[in-house]
Amino acid sequence: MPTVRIEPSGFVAHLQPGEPVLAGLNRCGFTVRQVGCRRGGCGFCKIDLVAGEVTYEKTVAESVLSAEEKTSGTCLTCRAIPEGDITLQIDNEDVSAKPTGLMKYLNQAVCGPTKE
Amino acid sequence: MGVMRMGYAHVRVTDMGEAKDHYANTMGLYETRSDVTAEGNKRTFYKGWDEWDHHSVVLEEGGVGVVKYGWKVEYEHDLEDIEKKAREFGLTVERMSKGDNPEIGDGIRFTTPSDHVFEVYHEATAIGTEVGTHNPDAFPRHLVGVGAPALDHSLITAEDPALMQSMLEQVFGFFATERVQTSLDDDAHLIATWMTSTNQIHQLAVLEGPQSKLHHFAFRLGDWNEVGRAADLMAMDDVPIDVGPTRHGITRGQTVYFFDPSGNRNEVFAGGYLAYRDRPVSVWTPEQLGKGIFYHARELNDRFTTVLT
Repeated sequence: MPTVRIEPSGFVAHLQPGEPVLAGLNRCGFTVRQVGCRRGGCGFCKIDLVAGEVTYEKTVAESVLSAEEKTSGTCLTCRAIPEGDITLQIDNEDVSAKPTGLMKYLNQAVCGPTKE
Repeated sequence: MGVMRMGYAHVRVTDMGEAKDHYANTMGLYETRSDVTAEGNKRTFYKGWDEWDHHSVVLEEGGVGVVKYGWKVEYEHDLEDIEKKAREFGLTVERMSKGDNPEIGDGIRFTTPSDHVFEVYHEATAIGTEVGTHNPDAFPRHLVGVGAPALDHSLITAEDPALMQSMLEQVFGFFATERVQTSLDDDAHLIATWMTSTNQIHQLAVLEGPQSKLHHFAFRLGDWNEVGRAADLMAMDDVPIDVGPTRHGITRGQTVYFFDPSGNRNEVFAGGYLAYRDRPVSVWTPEQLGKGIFYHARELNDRFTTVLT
């Protein structure tokens, strides 16, 4: 299963195969505050991809994510699907938060024993 | 009387298959035509159950955002009148011919000061509704999903909302029902305006922002219960909800904002009071803008004012 590591916080989310980055981070309790339409139309949720590769199975408008951005390490998180393990860089604490409160159980649930 | 209503919104979608699932199965619009443009783009035409003209929503595959809006006038001579007023306002107007848009008659086309394309027409193929006009029942029995009856209004962004307000007043004969401005002073800066030509509380709203962009287009619903039920259906269909259900301070309408599968923002809108030309305009100033937009939460967020297609 692919993982998404967030730097510099070091948070690691364990995604399900084929799961978009943003949906996976949310499911694991990690909050990305800079989120727009969640459907690839606005470009609000772009985050720097510093390691690994992502693919886009759904069509994304060139006006939202250019071909150059796709190859230069910009990850449109709502539509990007990791090809193996990836690392994202979010320096700004205003736009991201590690899980607190009950949210911290969300990632553990995925990492822990598989439910029968 | 000139412009009666926004007759159609023509928008771009990235994937026609997913878009059709949303507009037909979640929103419950009726598909009335599908074709391919000369450029090779797939298109799908829809109407709501309570609309009699051929279509009110056109989807075109390729990109996101709005292609154009169609405005239906009451009389054929309204076209000449609006053409004249548009030229007087300084706009470049071109004629459009019957068939330029399927099932839409002759008309005019111009680009607004906000860089949106407006078409004005008088004739559209009338295909009627399932309930008909003779002893009609209250609604069709087998509506799908939300079962939206009709397109209601749209909100667009413009660098100069005051200029758009002048254009809509002078060319379309619209009047403002509500405004957001920096203060109550005479020289206040206009931030947003809600405009109409009828008792409908708004047909087009214009918000300060980038040129040519779509904030949302909205479908009409009957009441709070229908708005709540629509939100339930969005949860069932994994439609991303932006805001709501809540009420607007501005217009008093009840609402859910959500996104289509391409990221274009939609709204379902119910209520709103009756507009009149002689009704004093409601004015909102920035310190209460949160309440004006979202009456219950009373907080604006970045996403609502900057996520556009």
